[in-house]
Amino acid sequence: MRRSPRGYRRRVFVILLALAAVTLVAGVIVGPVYIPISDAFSHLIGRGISADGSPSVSYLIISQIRLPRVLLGLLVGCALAISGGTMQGLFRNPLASPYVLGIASGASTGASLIILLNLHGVLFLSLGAFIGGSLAVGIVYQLAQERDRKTSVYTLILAGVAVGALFSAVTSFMIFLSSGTERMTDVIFWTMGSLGRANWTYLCVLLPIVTLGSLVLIAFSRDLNALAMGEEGAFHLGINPETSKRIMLGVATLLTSSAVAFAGTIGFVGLIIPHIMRLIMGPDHRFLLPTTAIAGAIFLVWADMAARTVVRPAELPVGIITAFLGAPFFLYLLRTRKARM
Amino acid sequence: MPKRVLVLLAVLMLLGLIASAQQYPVTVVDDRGLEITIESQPNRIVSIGPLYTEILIDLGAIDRLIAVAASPDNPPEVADLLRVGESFSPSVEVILALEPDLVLGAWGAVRDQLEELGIVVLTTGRSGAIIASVSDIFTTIRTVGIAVGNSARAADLIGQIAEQIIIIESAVLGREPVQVAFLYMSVPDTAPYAIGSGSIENELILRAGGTNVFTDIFGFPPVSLEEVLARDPEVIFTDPDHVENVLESQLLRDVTAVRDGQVFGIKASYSTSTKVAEVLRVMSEFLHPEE
Repeated sequence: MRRSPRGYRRRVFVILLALAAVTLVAGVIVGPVYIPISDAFSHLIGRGISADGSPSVSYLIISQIRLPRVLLGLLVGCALAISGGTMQGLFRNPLASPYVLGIASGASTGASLIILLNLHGVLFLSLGAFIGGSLAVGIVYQLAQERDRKTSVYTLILAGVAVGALFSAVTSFMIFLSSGTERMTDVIFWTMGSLGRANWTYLCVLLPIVTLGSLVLIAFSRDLNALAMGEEGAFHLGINPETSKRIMLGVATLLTSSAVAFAGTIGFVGLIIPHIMRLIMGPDHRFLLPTTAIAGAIFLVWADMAARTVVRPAELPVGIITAFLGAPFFLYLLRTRKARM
Repeated sequence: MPKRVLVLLAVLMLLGLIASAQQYPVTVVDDRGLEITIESQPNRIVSIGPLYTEILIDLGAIDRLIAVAASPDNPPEVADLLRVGESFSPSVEVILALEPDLVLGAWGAVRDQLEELGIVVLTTGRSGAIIASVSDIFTTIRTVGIAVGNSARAADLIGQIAEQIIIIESAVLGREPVQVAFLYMSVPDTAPYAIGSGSIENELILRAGGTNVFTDIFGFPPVSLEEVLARDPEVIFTDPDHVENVLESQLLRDVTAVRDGQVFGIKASYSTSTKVAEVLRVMSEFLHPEE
């Protein structure tokens, strides 16, 4: 490429930020109920309380339904994408996703159990999913510990596959136990992922986790770059591979578990978005991770907009849309980039 | 008189007592065991479940119903009414925009969101909004009746249905119970789903003068064709679209019900509806045709 890499990267970054702002506004304007754009804007800046002190319906829709949902989409998309990118770098494997250590399966089991036990409320659901996901990863991590307290990346992936399969079987069993009832629909829909459970309280919990977690992972970009040369090579570059791996795995797991706890298991964002951004930004994680985070956020909100409107007023689980959008776009990028090489 | 009939009569008397007073605010108990308070008579009602829609129609409150969720079991009277999404996936936004004063039948995350926005939601049945028995239907009718201010008509409706059930049961009293299986077989000669205990269909089979051969299983699980052969039901109930599948099934050829052509279609959605007595009547006529 003849243009300066720095200028190019800067331009991509600025475009992404602008796109994120547009996405936020678009996500709030779009919905099954028609709200005029001017009204939507005034509600966004806080105006919408009518004369008698009670909020107007459109204000409630914008502030209590759409805005939390869009913000949840941004946070979850960011968390999944940056975790996916980190996993791909850590495992040096393009098939890695944030769910590679069995988080998705574990979280599904936790959530299904909560639904089966009839414990009501999103709080229980999120806790169940979080504990299930963390349990799965914990088991995988324990299994992958070697004698000298080093963690084998190879064993991690294999253990992740096995533990993931085990938890999936448990989830399937629970679906069977609840068959014929509305709980079965609940469980299945949960595994397909949805941003419909958005709420300002959960956002307050998720925001610091995602922001701090992402910043930590970005701070470890150099370590990720070094690890690309294998652990011996990284060591010689002055990185402590064991510590870096543990921290990055831990933070990525925390990000993913938190995202899944509130939104269910949304696929493709953590797998495809890092690849797409790698084709655009190159493999240097210092630039790849931040842009992947923003791109993931943008992508998920647009996918959710589609999920809310294509079969309106019903809502599709957003995981269906992410799969439909992600795969073809990635294939398209792959072809055009390959043609140029 | 058999115990079941006595219990139904006792319920009727109790309802008569309850039906006397009707003024707002009223408090009812929902499927979670929580108390729901309704401040004044609801005039903008949204119904998510077909059962609630039917009850509103039967209570004469259809003019206060402003929207329903889409469902193949919706009664024809609401064909032109606004839709708020599917019954398993209603849109909170659309419901909110309608400014309802009562939403019937919402559950799960949708219910949580609606309640957080200050909308009154009423859902009855077992925990988890499940209707698994005739008494669950009665509870729903009574609760909705109190909530919308038509408790006298609700009591009448329950009385009518109970009376019809008593008549049907009395007609088959003393008869030898018929061995029945309630199956779903959407693809011929594959393992069917069987309805077991803890379901309203099981109760209806009992009341219609039959015995469910799968009463030892709970819920709605898939069973092997061997089990159907081993238990050899004399009558098989199934979805009207599956009757052919069962009758032409090679592997079930030797089952008494199939050999004698005693395979009948029962539309399941009518079981959890105010037409439950009709379903019971049809079932009892299939099981004991001499009367």
